[in-house]
Amino acid sequence: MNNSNEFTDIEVALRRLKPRQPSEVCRTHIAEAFGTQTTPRRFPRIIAWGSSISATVCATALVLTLTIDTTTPTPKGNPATTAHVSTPPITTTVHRDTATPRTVSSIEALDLRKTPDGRLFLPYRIRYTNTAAMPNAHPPSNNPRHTRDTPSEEVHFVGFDVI
Amino acid sequence: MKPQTQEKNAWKEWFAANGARFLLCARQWTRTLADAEDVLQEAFLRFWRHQRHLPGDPAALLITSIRRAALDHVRKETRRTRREQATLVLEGDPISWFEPAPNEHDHLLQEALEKLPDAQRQVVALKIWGELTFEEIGRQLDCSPNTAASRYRYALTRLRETLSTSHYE
Repeated sequence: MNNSNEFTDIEVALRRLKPRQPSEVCRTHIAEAFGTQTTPRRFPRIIAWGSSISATVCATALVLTLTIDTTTPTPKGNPATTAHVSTPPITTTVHRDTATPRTVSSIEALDLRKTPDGRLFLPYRIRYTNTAAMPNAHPPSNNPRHTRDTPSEEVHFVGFDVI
Repeated sequence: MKPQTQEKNAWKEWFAANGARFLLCARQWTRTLADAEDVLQEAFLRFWRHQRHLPGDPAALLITSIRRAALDHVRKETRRTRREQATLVLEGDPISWFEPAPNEHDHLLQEALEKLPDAQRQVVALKIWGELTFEEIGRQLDCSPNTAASRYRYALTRLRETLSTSHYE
């Protein structure tokens, strides 16, 4: 059945349309399945401290810590105990596309922890809402139909040195 | 580059050259772009690992794999009745299936595609971008080659009429 003479013009026009390419996420998943990487993501990405979030959380954690009785007795002759925030260890990783904007849903301080060598850590959980625009939304819009929200969370630690 | 590495990376070139059109085919049987990419990913892995050396048209093999993956996806993702599951409903904006149109004519053509009935649009997608024959399309859509060809003619006629009408408005 030969339609080429009858519909050549429309067929040519249709072939001019360029289908959207699969997303980078799709390619990455395929690459991981084949055991090759299109981007260096074999290991979970380390989330660095966001300055504003860490400052807020550190301040919150500091206030909470100073009001918590750690049951560690104050050494005699040293009634004043000061806690300061040590360099926070970077912990817990989230494997995500950093191009996806996210908002903080909640910050929750967890139970204060103490290591065998006496260091104190305050874990806290940050819950996020990741808003991914559907790749084909054109123009990009805030129309909920063109976005997808997914939750995620990270647990970080703030370390304290009691001096 | 070692032959093994070349073989290992061969899929990238093939996927870069053909991924877009097969994603469009996958969109014919899925609700959203995300579902289409999941289906494409699953089907492509199966095709590349087990089917690409089989006799026959590679495009037809992959599209068959895509359609089966889409049906499996629907069965897993929904609790609809058996009759509803057999109907793969397309939602979303078909215009977003394509790169932004560089001119008004192409934009109108994309809009006209959206207005086609699902059965006709599927045939057009499989014919134009899947590059299947009507016989292969008939196998994909469980209809005769003549039915596939008829749908194709109706679809292109309709597209032409829509574009002509828009031109004179």
